[in-house]
Amino acid sequence: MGKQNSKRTRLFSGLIVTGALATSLGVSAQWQDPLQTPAMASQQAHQSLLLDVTDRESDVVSVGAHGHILVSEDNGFTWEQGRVPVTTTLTAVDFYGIDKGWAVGHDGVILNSVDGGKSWVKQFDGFKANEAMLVSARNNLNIAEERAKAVEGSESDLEVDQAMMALENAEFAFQDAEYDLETGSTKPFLDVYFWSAKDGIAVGAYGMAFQTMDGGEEWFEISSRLPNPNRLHLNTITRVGDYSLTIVGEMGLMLRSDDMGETWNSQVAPYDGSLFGLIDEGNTQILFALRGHTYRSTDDGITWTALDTGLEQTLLGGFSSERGAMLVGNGGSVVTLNAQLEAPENATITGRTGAAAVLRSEAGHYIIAGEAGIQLVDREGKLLQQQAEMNGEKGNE
Amino acid sequence: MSEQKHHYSSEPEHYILSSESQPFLERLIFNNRSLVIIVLMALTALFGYGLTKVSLDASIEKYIPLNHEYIQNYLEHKDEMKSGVANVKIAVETTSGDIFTQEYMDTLSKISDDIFFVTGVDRSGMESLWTPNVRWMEVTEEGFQGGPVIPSTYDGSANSLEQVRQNVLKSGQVGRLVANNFESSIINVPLVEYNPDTGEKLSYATFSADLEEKIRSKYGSDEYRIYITGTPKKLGDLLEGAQSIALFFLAAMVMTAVLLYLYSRCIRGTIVPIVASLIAVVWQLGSLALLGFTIDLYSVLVPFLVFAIGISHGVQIINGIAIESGKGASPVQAARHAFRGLYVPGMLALLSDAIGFLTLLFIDIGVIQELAIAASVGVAMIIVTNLVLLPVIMSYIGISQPGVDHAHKASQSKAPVWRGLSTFANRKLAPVPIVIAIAMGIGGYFYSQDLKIGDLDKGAPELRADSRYNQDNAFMVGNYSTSSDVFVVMVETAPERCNAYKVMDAMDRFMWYMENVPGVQSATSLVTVSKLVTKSMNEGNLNWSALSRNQTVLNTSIQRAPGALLNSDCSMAPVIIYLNDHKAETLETVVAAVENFKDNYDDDVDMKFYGYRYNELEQAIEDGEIDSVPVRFQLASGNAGIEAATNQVIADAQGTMLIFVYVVVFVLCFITFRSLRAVACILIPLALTSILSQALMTYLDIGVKVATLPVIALGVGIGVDYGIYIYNRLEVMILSGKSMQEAFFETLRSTGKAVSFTGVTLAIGVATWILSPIKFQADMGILLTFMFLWNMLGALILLPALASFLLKPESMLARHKKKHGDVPPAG
Repeated sequence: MGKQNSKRTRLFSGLIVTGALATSLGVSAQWQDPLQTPAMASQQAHQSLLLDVTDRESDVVSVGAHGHILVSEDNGFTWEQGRVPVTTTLTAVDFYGIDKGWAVGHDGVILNSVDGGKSWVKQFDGFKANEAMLVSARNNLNIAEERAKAVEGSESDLEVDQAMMALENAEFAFQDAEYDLETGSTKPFLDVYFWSAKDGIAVGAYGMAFQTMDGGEEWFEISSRLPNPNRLHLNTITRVGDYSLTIVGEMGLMLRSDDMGETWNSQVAPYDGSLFGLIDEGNTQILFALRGHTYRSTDDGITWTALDTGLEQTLLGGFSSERGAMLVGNGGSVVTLNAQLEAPENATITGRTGAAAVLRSEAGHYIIAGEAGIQLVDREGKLLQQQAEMNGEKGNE
Repeated sequence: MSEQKHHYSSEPEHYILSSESQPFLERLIFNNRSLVIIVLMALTALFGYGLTKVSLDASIEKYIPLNHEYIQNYLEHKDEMKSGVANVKIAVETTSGDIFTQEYMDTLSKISDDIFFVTGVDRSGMESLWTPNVRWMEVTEEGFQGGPVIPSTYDGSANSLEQVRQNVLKSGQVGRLVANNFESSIINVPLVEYNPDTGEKLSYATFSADLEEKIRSKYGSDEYRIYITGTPKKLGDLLEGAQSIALFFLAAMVMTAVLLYLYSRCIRGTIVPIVASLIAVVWQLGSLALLGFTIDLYSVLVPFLVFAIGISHGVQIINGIAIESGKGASPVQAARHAFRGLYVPGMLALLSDAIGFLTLLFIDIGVIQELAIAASVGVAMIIVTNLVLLPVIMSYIGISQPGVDHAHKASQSKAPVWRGLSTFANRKLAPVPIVIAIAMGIGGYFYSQDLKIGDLDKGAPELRADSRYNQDNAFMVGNYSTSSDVFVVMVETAPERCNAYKVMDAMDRFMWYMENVPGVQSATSLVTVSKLVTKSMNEGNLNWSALSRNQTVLNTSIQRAPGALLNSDCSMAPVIIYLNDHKAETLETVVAAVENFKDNYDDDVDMKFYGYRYNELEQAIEDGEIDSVPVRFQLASGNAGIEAATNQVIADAQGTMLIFVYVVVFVLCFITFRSLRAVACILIPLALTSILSQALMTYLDIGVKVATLPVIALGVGIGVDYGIYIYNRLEVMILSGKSMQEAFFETLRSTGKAVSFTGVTLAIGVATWILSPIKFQADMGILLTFMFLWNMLGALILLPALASFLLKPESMLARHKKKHGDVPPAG
């Protein structure tokens, strides 16, 4: 960064080309949509923007910009690039077992691997998402219209108001869905979670949420199940305890399902700024958010106490184990918590590049994915002597 | 004695000017001596007036191959990208602690204020920690928050300094305006193009001097160090360096005068050639200035060459006059005889110089072509000033008695040195230099296979590695996240489309593709800004650093993009690629990568679509005339891009030019001497020098570049003089019936002496360049010195050795007899 080193005066461009007499038919099939373009094999992939890191049993998988999906079998020291059919920016990855994995990202893309991340196929993309969203929005609008009709002339003003507001929201949602379909503007998924080889949920921007019950053969729209009328961004989805899921998002949005995604309820968050993630360890949960705000709960999120991280940087990713937790965020910020997920201490990774996700390796060090790619740090947030590299021979295939 | 008498009044067959014209030209000049002087003085006055028009030109265009495809592309967008060039960075470093002290901030503030008032500074665009346009920004619950890095409440207290430190961290300026180690910060100073006071083009020389005086010497101390970089400063330094050339010229002149006096032992014989050569310089400079040519960093060297070549030919004349005078001739007779004896080889030599220089016109780079013209004109001027004016003047004043005695003594002496050298013309000894030459030639040839194209040094290659500028540049590169080697690819599309998703995505892929190329550090463009802003608009969440497919979001994301990253009608957006260095291999790799990407991504559509306005293109897409917004990747701009183009031109021209130079000297020598054997005697030593000078370049890590390419032509052009003079005399001696060794001895003690003097004089003239603060002038100096000396040795040692095997005195005599009957060559 910091390389824009010049100012410019703007002058009219001289690029006026007088057309040739022959009207040649312009065939411009050179550029292909990123959803149709396989990711380039790169020896630098581990040093470009990476946005998520997850474990695949004892191995590590990371995803990021340019359709990069990287797998490491040695705690993050050497990485191999998977074959990916798209070049879109991938934001999240999750594995169930050693072989089956799903990666999601921009353009509403969902990729699936059944060989442990070596190769990937596209299951779903934003264009399909747009169609699904439009169908769903139309249904919702119909329901809202019927309900509005039903309550017409009702005694209860509140009921009428609520119905009218729901109708209004449904109309907006429908218009937006139509607009998205028309302009092809496809929204990013921001997180994905699978709790079996078949069951998973992907959440994303503007309240977008899709679920599968067959490992991704079919993804169906579940946005309407979520109590999220303003279609706020859904930043992460996390397993809490044995049967619960929590989605956190924009403007203090916190949604909880105690039946693995069947029904969802709003929870009151301790903070009304954006929430970026939740980690769950034993009976304790840590919620982290904009500008270093961090909260701890020991009663399933009913009450929260603020933790003083001493940070003003936004925290974007976290990881916990029985040994403690690490949160990471913008400006290379690191917050470490002890085994009780208390006593926060902060540090800054040399270089101050933003960090998006973190994972504790089996070797005990932490693997951070962010603007600088993969960074390996110790518990105090100090960069290890040895850093990540690409596996030369296989990375080129 | 009778042979001696013929030496300077006899000529073998020469065909450029037939022997019949000889008396005519001589008569024409010497029968109208006063008229000749008057006319030439009048011309001198005219060209002297021309001297007042001489101006130094620092425009960059002359240094680049304007007709190269890449440069044409660059020029098309030059106006849209120009102010990126006119930009100076001034770093202020503290030697104790970091920049977050009251003293540092105060000093920085004063410097910032002073720079504000330097003429030429674009005040509104200035950036430093103290300017309000340098801001910090963060996302809070309420949205964006931000302010100037140094807040209005700043009072120098520990608290405010801590606040400044926090703001700097949030500003994203670490690595840009603030050094990575927090020990210095930069004041970024864009320049205006025209001086606002006078309306004239801003003089970089004055601006650079102002910075030195008002900033560096005023504020630089043990406590605070000042570093200044940027193209305007570099040009300023170069122009300043060019002025030291005058000093070198003076030094060369004094040394030449001393040598000349030692050689001639005659004040008149010393002053007259110097004056005649200076007149040649005046004519050359004045005539070109009158024709509208300007001086640049290359052609500023031409006066040296003209002066040195003038002296070397003048010496031949003075030598001749002295010897004639020694035989008792009157000044007029002596001058006439010397003229008669020397004007043919002199003219041949000068013509081959001039035509040799003109072969440089084949290189399509302004400075080289102007160098070719200036040098050719200068050499042509010498024909008049030193072959005509000089003997005419001498015919009035004559050589002084000590000079005559000295020359006479020399011609009578045993001359052990020349006697020793002449043994090389003996077949017994001749194989030694020949074998050595062959060995050196082969060795040199293989060694020079590693010769590189282009500039090999870091930083500004025009200046020395240890120059102030390059030290400052190294400081900037070491402490800030910038590279000084920038390769720019211009991404073209239709107006209003540079921010179309397809164009931006293609650019994004291009950048990533290039970042994977060895030698590339990073790439930046409109896409970088778009991703950054999109991320910021989403609360700094890294998940959003991607291009949006939503055109509205894309538009918003580049709303405040620096103007440097797109042109005014959004039909072009540059991708700026930072490189590790500008070595030729790096540039070739980068160019090949860009061309490869271009092959895959350039839309093969009618050019007219690139001119379509927004609605026209919408319509065309709707009508199916074209699939989508057109895009293509155009090379190249940035210093590395321009250098890549220059390297290509030079690599192409290198061989062509060498061939042309040799063809020219071959043809001229062949027409004159009508003998392939003679031509071989003259050209083989030259070729050896060419090979060895390439080996020397390899050894010294000097690449073939704009500066060194002309040296090859200059070296061959001037080097051939020695061979011509020596061979010419040798032939006369052989035709007068001497043995090869004896003929060569006689040649050496007369012409050889002058040739060795010439070699040394020329070498001294150009050797002073080695001290130039301008690196390429120093490189030229080293190479030319080497070539002049080596050519001299070749003519004195290798030529006779070759002659002893190649020349057949009997058949030469027979041929001479057949043509001229039994008349001996002596007139």
